[in-house]
Amino acid sequence: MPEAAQKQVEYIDIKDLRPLPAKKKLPRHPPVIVFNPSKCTGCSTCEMVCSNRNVDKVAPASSSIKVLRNEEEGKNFAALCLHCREPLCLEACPTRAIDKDDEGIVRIRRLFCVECGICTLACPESAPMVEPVTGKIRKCDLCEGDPLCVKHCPEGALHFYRGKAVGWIKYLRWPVQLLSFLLLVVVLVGTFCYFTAGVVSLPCPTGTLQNIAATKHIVFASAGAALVLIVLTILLGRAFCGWVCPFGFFLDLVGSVVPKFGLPKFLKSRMIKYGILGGAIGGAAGLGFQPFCTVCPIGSICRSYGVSGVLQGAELAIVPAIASLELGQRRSWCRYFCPVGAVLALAAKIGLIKIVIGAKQCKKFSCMQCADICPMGIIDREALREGTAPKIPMDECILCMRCVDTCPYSSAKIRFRWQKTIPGEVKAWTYS
Amino acid sequence: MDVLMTPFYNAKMALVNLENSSVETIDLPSELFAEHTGGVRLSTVLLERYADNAPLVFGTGPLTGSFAPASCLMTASFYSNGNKVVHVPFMLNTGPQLKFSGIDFLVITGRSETPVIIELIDNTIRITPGDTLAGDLSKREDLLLARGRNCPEIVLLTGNAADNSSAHACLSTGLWGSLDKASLGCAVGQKNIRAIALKAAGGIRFPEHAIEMSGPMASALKNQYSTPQFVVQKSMGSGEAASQLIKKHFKKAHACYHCPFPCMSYLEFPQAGSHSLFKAGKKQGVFLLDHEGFAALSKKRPADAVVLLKHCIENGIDPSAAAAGLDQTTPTEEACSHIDLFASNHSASVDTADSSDTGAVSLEFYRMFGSGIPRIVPTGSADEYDTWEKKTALAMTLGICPILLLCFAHIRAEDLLAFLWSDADVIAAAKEKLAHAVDAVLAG
Repeated sequence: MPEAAQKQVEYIDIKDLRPLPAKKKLPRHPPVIVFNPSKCTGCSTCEMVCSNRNVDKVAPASSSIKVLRNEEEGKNFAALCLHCREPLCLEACPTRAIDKDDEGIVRIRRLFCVECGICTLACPESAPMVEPVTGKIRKCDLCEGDPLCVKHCPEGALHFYRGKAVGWIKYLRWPVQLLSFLLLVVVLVGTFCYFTAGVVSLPCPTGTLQNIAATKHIVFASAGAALVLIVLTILLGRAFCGWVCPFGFFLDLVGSVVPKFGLPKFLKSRMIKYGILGGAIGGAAGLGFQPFCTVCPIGSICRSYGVSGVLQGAELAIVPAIASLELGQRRSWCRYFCPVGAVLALAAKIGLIKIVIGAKQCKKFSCMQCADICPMGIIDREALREGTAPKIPMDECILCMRCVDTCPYSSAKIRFRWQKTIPGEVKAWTYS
Repeated sequence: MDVLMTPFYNAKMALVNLENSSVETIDLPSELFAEHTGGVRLSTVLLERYADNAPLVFGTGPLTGSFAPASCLMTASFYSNGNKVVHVPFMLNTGPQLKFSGIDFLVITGRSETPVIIELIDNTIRITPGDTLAGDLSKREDLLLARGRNCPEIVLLTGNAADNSSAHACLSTGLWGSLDKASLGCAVGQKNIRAIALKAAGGIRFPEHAIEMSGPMASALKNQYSTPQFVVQKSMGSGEAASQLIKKHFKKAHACYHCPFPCMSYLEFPQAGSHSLFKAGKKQGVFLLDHEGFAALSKKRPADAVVLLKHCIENGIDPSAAAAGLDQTTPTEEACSHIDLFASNHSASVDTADSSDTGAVSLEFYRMFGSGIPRIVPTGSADEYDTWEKKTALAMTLGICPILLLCFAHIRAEDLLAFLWSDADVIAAAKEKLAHAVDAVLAG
């Protein structure tokens, strides 16, 4: 709770009357009004219609949306409720008068509200507003699904999204993943480890490293071919993990149906995968064969199709064993353990592309949709809460682009490493 | 037929007497509104009522704050040096903020011994000391905005020019500048008022049917303009230089209260001395509300008109008057110094209206309405309000922006009155009353 809100709680000496409401299963994409500052001319029509609904007269002071002008920069912005996933006002309210309903709308229950104003201090958007004379707290309730401010904005600066689906990315990514899976597992059985088509041969980089360690001999053609995936990773990041890897696709399928119970803390280190990679290479050097390849879930799933695949049942048992990690977190294997991912992560560290979040219109501290949806859990919630742009570690990003897709404010963008462009930078408003 | 105006008013005025620092709220009879409609007509009546005590009347019209387009207007009426009544328009959300503060007219009489601020915060009127309000306009505004819960929504400010009783001092709307070229700033300064701060807590109930009328009218108007230079291109007093400069420096368009026509531009320009070989310069900007003043500066000094406009606003001086005294060849810094000197010289005076006379608009009426409203000939007018002065008087009586009516002359009086009443007979009767009021305004 912000310091000002804490002081107010102590000042008015209200004890918690009721416990915090139990966390509900929220709609995946709660309704939200998105404000486009580049279009807003500051005409206050939204305030007029909102107050007219609230108090049956035009009274901007009684509006639940507030248009503010920055005279230094000549920009406008609107203070309005974002119906956050984790509303700070809800936690701060000492009388538990604020609740989030089944549709994801944060509401004030008048019966319990004592008009202490703590919610106004707790909200980083200053969305709950105190009426100057009556002291009543007002907050946007989205006009029961048909926000008047959106309807009447003459510039189209306000947009209302309700139950927005994950959008376009799933229609692109899932078919690509399915095709890759079918290609590598069904059509080109067992070929991920060493794919050959005519003169082209593409071995797995981790397998190649183990092979070199085991044989103490470098076959330059093979090593060079293994570099193809590394070069692609430098160019496109870990897109292989997010779009092509058949085991990644399998984990996505499993992860979408199994519940999550979390992982023990000692397993949640992203350095483990580098340890496994080092162990695999060291083991290969000592044992004279590639130890990790025998248990590699990617190789196992690629070799699992057909009669020969069934005969390798013992090896295939590794797949459900590792997939059970999905009970802990999404893509647990990819996050913490996969040595193939570790090799690609090293390449992605010097990659050419990056994902940036933190445009001026990013409602960092309250929206959290990008952090919620990231399967690798690499978007820093604390940075978002502090209102700073989170730094995305591209060695851990599998470039699934779900953050880009899900951000209702278009704040998450793919950029080249050298680009300094702030995503979603406010463009000059031009006449139509 | 009786036309009931009072539902769209608070039917109250506040009388602020600076001689004895008293504030009085007075009920206004409904007959007064029925007879005079409101806006500048009623302001003139109040001016006459308090004529013995150097009155200054801030007023609103029946449409101010309503769902009619550009219902933003507040007017300031006072006796100018020639003892003629002058009405100065104020835009942004000044009108609604005054009206929703629970009063329709604010009458200020007398003179304070010490500098004061008149506050209308949360429906309470106070006179507070204004000694600390000094420096340029941005410093003054910062001081007023740093007042926590008493932070106003909008401020009318006087600057250095008014402190020095310059004949060209403006009463500026925050850092937006002003359409005041009639020495209102000087009149306010002479009363020792440094600022008028507004923050409304109330409201007025307007007819529900008007909400649905508002959208289609806004859409229709939006299709009729294309560029940020629209106003200066239409204005007879402007020129190509201003148009080019707006095109060059335009950053963002801004609109007044409930206006679908964002005619105010935020112009951005590089801050002098902030750029180097390796670093891009910092940007700063200025709001363009005073198109006539900017046009005058652009004609004289196209190279640095934007910088000088900002400097004029910061000093609270009329840009048109400042332009008249500027040399075309002096460096920018020297020109800024000249503006500083001009603002501090109470005897310096130029007639800006005469120097830019286009013949399209009568100078008498141009001066009556503050000499700052763009001289746009209302072509295509669909009713009897077919001249600049008639359109302006109509807008200032009803309480909506005159620039909108001048640019879109096809908007008729009954189209606007339909935002108050749906009955055709009542609208016809109101139109008749309005015609009398407009005639009375133009008769002075």
